[in-house]
Amino acid sequence: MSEEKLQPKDVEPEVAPRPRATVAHVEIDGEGVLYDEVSNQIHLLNPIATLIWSGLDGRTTLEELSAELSDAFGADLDRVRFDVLEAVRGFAEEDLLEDRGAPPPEDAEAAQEASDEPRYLKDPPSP
Amino acid sequence: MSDRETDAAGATALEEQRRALEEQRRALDDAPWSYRGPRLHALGFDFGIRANDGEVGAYLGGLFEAFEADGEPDHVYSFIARPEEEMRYSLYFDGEHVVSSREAGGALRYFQWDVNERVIARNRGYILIHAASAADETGRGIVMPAAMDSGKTTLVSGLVRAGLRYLSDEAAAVDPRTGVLHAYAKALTIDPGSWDVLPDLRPSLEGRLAPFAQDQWYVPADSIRRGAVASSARPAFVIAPRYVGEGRTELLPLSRAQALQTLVENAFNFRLFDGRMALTVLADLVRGAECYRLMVAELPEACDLVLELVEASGEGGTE
Repeated sequence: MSEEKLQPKDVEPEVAPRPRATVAHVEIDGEGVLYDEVSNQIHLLNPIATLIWSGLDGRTTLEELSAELSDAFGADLDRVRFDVLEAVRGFAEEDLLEDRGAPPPEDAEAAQEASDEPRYLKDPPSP
Repeated sequence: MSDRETDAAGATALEEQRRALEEQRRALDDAPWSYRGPRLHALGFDFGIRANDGEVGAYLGGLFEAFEADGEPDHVYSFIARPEEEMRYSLYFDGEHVVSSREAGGALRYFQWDVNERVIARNRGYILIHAASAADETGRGIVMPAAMDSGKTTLVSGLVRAGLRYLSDEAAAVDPRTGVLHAYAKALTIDPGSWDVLPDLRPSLEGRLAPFAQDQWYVPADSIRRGAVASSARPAFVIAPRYVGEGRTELLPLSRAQALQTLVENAFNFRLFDGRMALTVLADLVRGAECYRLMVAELPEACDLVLELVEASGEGGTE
């Protein structure tokens, strides 16, 4: 799969972005702090943005993440999807994400078979 | 000129520069020095001071007395005072000319800056944060991160005067292996804007030493109170000060994530470390600390708030 910088205009429900390898993340008392080694910038995330960031693992599409959060919090899916896309566009604007080139839906099953890894992990892998 | 010729010319120029530096170093080594100070060691930077004027040398050495160590220094600053010349004061680092100045205050300010630069800019041993730092008697450290002109030196001066121990007015040094806060106990550098609130810290310099305190006061913490300098502490508080002039002096809660952001934003050498490791070290620091923003309008009130906080936290058995 290709790995390239995710542009805000490319943030759509079917993409599965993940943090760039140069972005370090810690969570303290429910708030996330990101440090980008390339830009030497630090970013503070509110608790909701922290949850969304934690779900970006390069395998989970934003639609799947939205459904997950919607289920977990009993919130309206459309509303959650809107918030997720907005937050992820913000991350992309700060150049914090890359897109592993999530396969289109019709190829997803074949891609899954070719991979040893499960398509979706409930718990995000350690960064 | 071809690339090869350009390279050769550059190499020759470098060699000439190296020779000139070596000659200068030998000339300085052979000069008579009225003052030769002890080895000084600050966060890995190792140096000594010598001066052609014994009184001036002893004064300069006294400003760095918290760094005194046994043995011979790796490097040496040479401070030359020549009252009869236009450029009265000159400073060399090993054989290299650092600065010449007509004014004693100007030369000393540059000297302090040069030491700071050599200690801080290339330091790979400690995560260095632009912050004042102090400790209480039980070894709990207070990190006070802030940008320039936020009142760090004024606040830590007031706290040391009120009984806390001094670590630094410039850089909080965090050992990434242990998380322990180490001293960079340079002389407190007090700007004229704070002279009115710290009048008792005015250095009593006379004669040809008096001009050294014209621009800034350089106050070794031990001159405030013998034994005021601590060597290290466990970080227990992060208090980000901000001078608010006519506003209200108050201590406001800061989330630990905000405190971490403030520490990273004020780190001098974060980029020299692996970002993930350094972020984890500072995250662990704030996880073990109480974090606040301190709005400072009046120094005595600000010091009281910090001292009350430290005392109350001790009573609660936090550390």
